[in-house]
Amino acid sequence: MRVLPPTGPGFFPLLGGKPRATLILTTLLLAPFGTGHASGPASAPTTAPTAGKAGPLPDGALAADGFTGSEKIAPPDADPLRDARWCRLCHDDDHFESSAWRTTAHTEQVCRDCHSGYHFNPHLPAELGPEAATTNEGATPAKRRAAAWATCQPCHKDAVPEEGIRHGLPEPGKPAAENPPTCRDCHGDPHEVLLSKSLPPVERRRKMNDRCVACHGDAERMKAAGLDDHVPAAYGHSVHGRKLDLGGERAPGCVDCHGSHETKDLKDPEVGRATCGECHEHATPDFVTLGDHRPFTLEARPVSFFTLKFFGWLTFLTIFALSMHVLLDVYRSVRVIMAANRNDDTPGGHA
Amino acid sequence: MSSSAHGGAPTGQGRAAALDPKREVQRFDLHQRLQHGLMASSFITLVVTGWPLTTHGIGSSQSLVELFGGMEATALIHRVAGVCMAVAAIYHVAYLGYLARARRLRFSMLPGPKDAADLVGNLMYFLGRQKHRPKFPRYTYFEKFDYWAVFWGVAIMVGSGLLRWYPDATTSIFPPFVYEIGLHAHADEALLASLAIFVWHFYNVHLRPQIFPMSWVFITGRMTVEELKEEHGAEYDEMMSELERSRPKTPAPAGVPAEAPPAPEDAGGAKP
Repeated sequence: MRVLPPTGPGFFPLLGGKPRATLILTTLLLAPFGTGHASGPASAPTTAPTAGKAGPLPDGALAADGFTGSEKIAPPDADPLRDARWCRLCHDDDHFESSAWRTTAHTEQVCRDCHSGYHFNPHLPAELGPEAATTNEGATPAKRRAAAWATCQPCHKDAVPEEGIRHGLPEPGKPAAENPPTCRDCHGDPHEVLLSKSLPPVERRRKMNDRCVACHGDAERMKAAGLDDHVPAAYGHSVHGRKLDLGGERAPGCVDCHGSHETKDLKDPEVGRATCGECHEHATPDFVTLGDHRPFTLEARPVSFFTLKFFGWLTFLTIFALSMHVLLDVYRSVRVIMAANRNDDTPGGHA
Repeated sequence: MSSSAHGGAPTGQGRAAALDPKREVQRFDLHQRLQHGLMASSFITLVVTGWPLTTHGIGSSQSLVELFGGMEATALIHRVAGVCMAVAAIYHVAYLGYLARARRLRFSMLPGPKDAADLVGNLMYFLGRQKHRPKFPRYTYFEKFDYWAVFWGVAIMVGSGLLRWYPDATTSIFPPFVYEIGLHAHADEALLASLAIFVWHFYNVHLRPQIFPMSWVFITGRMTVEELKEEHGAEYDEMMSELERSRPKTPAPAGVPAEAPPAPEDAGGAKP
């Protein structure tokens, strides 16, 4: 059941390669006789998958999940909704295709492991349960977070310790910008989420940084959260950010220092020193302040501000003067050469 | 300094020989050329390996880093080159110390009032207000500028480079703003030095129409009398009058070296 069978037009020979149309038609035909559990679906979808090679769906299996009306059928423990092929009849986005699915971290899971509310198939739009809101753009952040918690936490118990999440506690009733992120905000679409070790470190850090920057570079959101939105820019200019840009495998990304679910309080000198100390052996509390993402402004870092000003002007004025000297030299040399060409009596130009 | 031509072999004798424009004078000894070579090669390596960190956002920087074998390899090459530059600087200072001990240290690299006058004179010449270039001494004002710019530059770059190399040690010895100064000084002084070398120094020593396409002095250490007269008129005059003075005493044997003045082992010379 865990291995997803191939799909495609050839998989639905009885339906002439148009499974979705047939399914919708069937649904509409059956609707007057009641919804959901009332009656079993037409025989065509029931048998369709088994017509393909090695389909794990037993004959008539749809009825086993509490459906009535097709008694001849399947063993009672066979759960037809654990076969994603049924879902893909309608939900045929590319990333639900098994080839794409196999590259994700959730390759062992099937639709209903997360989308747990569906006991019948096909389900009508009106019967979408509250868990539909986990992917619904229109859902409130609080609802999305509650749903994400309920959906992800049962498996990811270690990653989501109930006591210690600094970065995502549900706080219903706050405006979007003030709300901490849900699982999905950082980890991305669960249908596409990858195992971190499946990516080389540099690419993984860049990807993760992008997710952090999506919120921490958003001025409105950061203002609402009482944080500074200059941090991504400051990181980008830092040696760490530059080295990551250039493919440095030892360059840390955001979460390497800040942690993820239990974000660290790096303002605590001891925590900061220990964190920097993981790479910089002799890190002191002073050292930690070098990486605190303050911008090089007069208020935040006056020494940097004046150093940059000093060297900026020094460079500009020096190079301006030297360039002028060069240009004047060129100018005079050209005149001398032209004069020499005009008049052979004055060769060379300069004495 | 000036152009090529390993001119004619020393011929003739006496005054005629000294005036042979194709004869060569030795301007830089082997030590000076080695110092310059080490400085130049480490400088170019440092620029190409350090530059990507400044322009980190653009694809060509990333390709350049890949060319050197990745970020870590690039950083290693940069540090090795930095040590070479420091070695070149120490070599030069030690060399000056050796000359001073041997009482052969001349101070022709020190700036003086004539340099200010030469600068004005040269600008007047550029603008056509003066018919001739000033008669420059052994080192022109722009050569002296380069020499002392390297003194300043190496001190800044090696110093700030060490601060950046050991940031944790830096902050345990100094207050953190010292590292901040080093951080910006290293990048900004590097830009200044690169522009000064590749625009100004390269123009003056190689690309000037009188010299183009390149000068060989930094390799051979030699320059023809003709070039000397043109580029360092004051030194040429001095050399001539010295020859004049020495002539009556020794009736020049045939083939007395026209590499007339004793090898100029004075301060500096290693062009940056």
